[in-house]
Amino acid sequence: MNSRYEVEQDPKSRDTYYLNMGPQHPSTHGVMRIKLHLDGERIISAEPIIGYGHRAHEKMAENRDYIQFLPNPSRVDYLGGMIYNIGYCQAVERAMNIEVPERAEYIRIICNELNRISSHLLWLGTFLMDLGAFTPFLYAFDDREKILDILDRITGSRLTYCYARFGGVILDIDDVFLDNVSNFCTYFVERLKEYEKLVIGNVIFRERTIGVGIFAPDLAQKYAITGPCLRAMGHVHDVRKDEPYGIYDRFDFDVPTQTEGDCFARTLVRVEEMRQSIRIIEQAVSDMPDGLFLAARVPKRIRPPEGDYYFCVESPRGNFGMYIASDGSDIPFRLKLRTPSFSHISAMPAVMAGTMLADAVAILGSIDIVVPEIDR
Amino acid sequence: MIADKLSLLVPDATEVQYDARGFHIQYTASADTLPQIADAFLSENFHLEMITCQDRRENDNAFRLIYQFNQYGTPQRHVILADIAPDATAPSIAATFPAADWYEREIFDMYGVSFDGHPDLKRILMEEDYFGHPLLKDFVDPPNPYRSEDDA
Amino acid sequence: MKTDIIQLFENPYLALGVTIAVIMAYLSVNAIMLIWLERKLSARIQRRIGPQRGPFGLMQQIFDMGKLLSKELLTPEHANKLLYVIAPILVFAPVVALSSLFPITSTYIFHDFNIAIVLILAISGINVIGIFLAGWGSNNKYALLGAVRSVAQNISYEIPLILSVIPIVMITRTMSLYDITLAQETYPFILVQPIALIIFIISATAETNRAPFDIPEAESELVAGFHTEYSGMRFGLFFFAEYSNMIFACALATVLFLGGWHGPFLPDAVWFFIKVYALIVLMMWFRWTFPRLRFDQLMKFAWVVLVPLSLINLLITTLVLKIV
Repeated sequence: MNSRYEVEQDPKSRDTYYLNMGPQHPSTHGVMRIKLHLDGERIISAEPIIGYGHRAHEKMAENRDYIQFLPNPSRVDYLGGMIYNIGYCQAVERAMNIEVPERAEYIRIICNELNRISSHLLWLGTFLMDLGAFTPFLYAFDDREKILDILDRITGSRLTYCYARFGGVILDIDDVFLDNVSNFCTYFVERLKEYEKLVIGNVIFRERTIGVGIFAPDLAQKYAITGPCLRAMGHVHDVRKDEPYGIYDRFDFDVPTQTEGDCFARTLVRVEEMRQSIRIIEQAVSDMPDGLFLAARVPKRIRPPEGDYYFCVESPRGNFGMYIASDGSDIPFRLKLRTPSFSHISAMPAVMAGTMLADAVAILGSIDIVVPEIDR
Repeated sequence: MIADKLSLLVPDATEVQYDARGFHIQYTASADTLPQIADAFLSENFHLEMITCQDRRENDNAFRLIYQFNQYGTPQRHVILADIAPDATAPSIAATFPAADWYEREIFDMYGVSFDGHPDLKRILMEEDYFGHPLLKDFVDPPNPYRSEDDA
Repeated sequence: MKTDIIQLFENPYLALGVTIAVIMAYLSVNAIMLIWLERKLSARIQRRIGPQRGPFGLMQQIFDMGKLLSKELLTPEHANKLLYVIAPILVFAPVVALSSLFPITSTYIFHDFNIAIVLILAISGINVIGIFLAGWGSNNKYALLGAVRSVAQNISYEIPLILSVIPIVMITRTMSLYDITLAQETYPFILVQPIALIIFIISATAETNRAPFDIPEAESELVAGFHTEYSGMRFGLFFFAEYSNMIFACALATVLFLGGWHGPFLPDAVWFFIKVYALIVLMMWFRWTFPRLRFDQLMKFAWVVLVPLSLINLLITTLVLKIV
């Protein structure tokens, strides 16, 4: 057991026990195990045990060329598949200095942000289900379905997208898509208000989340917390703002932050992020230029010049970084996927110690983990 | 400033072109200075973005450890490269950056590189009774004693 | 004026048998229909259609029952067999035993018992033992945790429940459910004891382990709580018991606060069941609207809010009765 994070035990109660939360458990959202050392309902220490969903994406990358690896990133994080897929393309494009047409950049922005909303919606539903509220789950899935339908129409897939190519995207969009997207935006802004009324105002929800699972201020630096979890702690940090990739620097949007760092703050940040994503989409739809959707001149062989490259995008969960070490050949020498959930889960022993069993579920839900992303 | 603190520890710093490479400064350090380097980064409010490793035994007869530090807000990525001999161990920086705990375990799991002073060095992604280190370039998947011939 | 059905039979055992048969039949049909109601209602709340098999989806429950009945009854290897087997029965039994006490119509009732309320409050506590045995006998940590939570919760919420019933007894000076209903001929007690009714409904929801007080079987934390290891019809009995407990609690609330069978135009029994099912719909509405409370918050709510509130209510009732 990881003794560093054990909280002080009540000397009177010597009856502690271990509880395996997982590998099959309703609220680990996948195959993950948390070994809880419990004193009654109080958690003395928690040790996440991961790797059940390890699919060796990094090894696969070393055995296939850059083009063949294209479908993989969206399988690493199946909820933010589009963002990962586009991010991988952008990483290679920057390494090889491939120009991307304007239209493709705008399409990518729309797809990225739609995907972010769908991921946040799924998070909202499952998080509330973890807290015992069943109904918001189906409302969120209902709206998510609309996004999936929109993306399905242009990409042909609903979950694990492989839409981006080096130098653009594989298929062009049409006016129907743009209409669908703008209709969805107007619809969804109203729906968000409904969600806020339904969820954020609820007394029991507030009881369950305010002051629960607080990330101590020094935790961010120690564990490299990123994404909404970090913004809920008061840091204004968003890759889209700080090191804009693609054409994010052309859009006007805010980085929502809260200061408390608890489950409630993370909820508020994510709900507000959905609203900001809608803002970005609306701007992108109105500015959509004509032109090519795939660069005309893309090198036939994808061979980044020898050297190390790091490219980082803002996934719905945090900084997703790709470290590519190229030896100048078709095949990456080393491709490391830096996934945000991995960092967040590694901080769990420090966050969970001293909380209640029910809080552990709330914390796990609120940091929005995707288990395949931890295990890669 | 982080540059001043580091210049004492690692003289060998190269500025890289951020727009093309994604990070700012690359240092080549010897492995035993890693804890001091980590301390320097911690005191300057940097966080450990990731640690990874390369199997460069064919090229340089070494494992290359890659530490990447960054700060929140304006990005300022510093990459530390530390080559270690194939049978050598590296010092752990998990005491300074707890995030390193799992990254070091992952490198131990995938490459077999050991870290001195790590609180609990064991496999993380592969199962506990696995043998072999999958990300080695000469890795061959060991036969699974629990899998029968007709399993695909 | 009133006739005890039990006295219609000459043989007391025959009377008992008939009563139990009628109640069992009613509770079974009721549970099936309530499951249907809950599914349809939750579907409406969640913008879904709900079950579709048969007319209005009514066949879904029949198939479910068939599935539960035909399933193998698994007993975990290290379970305490005796406790494991009797637990579902113990959970279900009190409801059956007590249902005969309710005066559904003003003319025919099963049996009018002069200390019915004491009997009900005493025996309905037994199902906690059943739940605890289920958790203990399964030899599973999740089940045990669920059982421990359940015992703590049920014992805590029994106190405000009883304290909310006492004012009624003080007003009517009787413990017979029939006489309490008679006393509400002019107005139901909801008008004089609204706080008691609210406390009663909240406590009853907790007693029946329904959301938002369903922490003993909180599926996101404890998988399925005390019935994690149960399968087939043993699980079905827990399922039945939940819905039977619901109707039991709602019937009690109807008799105590809503005036029982009293109501204009419609026959007595119709009014009684309208009130009961309205309360049940209310409880289902709770379940599909609220998140779940945490265990300590739940206990805090019982001891810090409900118990003092019901004591104050009791005090006020006493003073008013003394003055008037």
